[in-house]
Amino acid sequence: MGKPRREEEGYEGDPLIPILNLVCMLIPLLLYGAVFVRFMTLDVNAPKIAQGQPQQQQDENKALNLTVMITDQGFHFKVNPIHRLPWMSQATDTASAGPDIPKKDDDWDFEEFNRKLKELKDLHREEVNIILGAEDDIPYEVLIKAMDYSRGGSEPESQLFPVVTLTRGVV
Amino acid sequence: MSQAPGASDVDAIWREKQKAKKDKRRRRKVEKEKLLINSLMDAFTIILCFLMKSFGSDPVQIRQSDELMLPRTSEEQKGLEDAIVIAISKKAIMVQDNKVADLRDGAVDESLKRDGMDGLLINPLLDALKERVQHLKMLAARTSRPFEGMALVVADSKTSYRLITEVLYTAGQAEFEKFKFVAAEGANYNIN
Repeated sequence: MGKPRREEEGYEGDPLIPILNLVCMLIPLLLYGAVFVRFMTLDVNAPKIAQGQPQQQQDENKALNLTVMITDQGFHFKVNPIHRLPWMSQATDTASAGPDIPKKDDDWDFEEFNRKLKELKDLHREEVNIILGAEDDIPYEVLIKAMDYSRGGSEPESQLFPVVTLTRGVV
Repeated sequence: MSQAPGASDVDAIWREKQKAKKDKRRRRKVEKEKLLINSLMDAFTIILCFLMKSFGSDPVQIRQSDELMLPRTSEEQKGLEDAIVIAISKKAIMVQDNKVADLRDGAVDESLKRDGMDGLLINPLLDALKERVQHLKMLAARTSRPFEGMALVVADSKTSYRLITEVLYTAGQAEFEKFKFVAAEGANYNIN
């Protein structure tokens, strides 16, 4: 009497074992392929290959034409001359001018960069465009950080210049 | 010494009772094991469902590695979209996971560029992207979805700006007009 009952008990448990095996195989496989980091995207307009706009055209245009160049020395700001602020370099080419925001502790001073962008935004509330450029060897992570700071906060009122266009090299 | 009559019967009954108790204990033990497997199965099923959901929820699969470590961003709203993925790792440029050009010291060999060292156009990348565009246009013609010309740029955080512009320029020549840079969520800076 006892023996057949034991067999019955064993029979009840058996069908779970292949499923359990399958699940045990699937879990490591899915864990390997699973992505636990969320990825975000940042919109960017295609690079402008023509380096800078002719001076005359800039003067005729009343737009801000904000261009920021990231170099190994820091940030260089360029705007339409009629909107130039006292702290901005008067030089027409980045190579001869010192940075408007020099590096601090061997790193780009993004806090100051953010303050300057806010100052410009306060003067030009409706402006949303910014052109970003960099020296050839500037790492991608610095560009992404500059884009983050250019965009500003996530709230509409704290946004600065969310429409980013890249430009080739240093103007 | 002779045993009292009926003593063996009592022993037999006692042994049977002991055996019954033992069987009962054994059965109880078996039942307990079964219960353990069931709860384990439940836990596994939940884990499996969670993993399968996270596996298939993104339109594009991106896996970070030592060669492709994405920068962090403070962006929190715009997630991934279905588009052609151009990946730039430390060692190669890939289009939809297919390697199209090798990188040496983070740069494309001049022999792979149309205009040599100073050139911006990377020939094998252009060919691969044109092939994709052709395919996407064919699909667009058959379905109601128009060809958008959008590309996701997935680049290692140390990629040089020069290489980024070369890739974007080449993609632009292959009729791509909209670009999105992909970065991992969770930058360690707060922008107010």
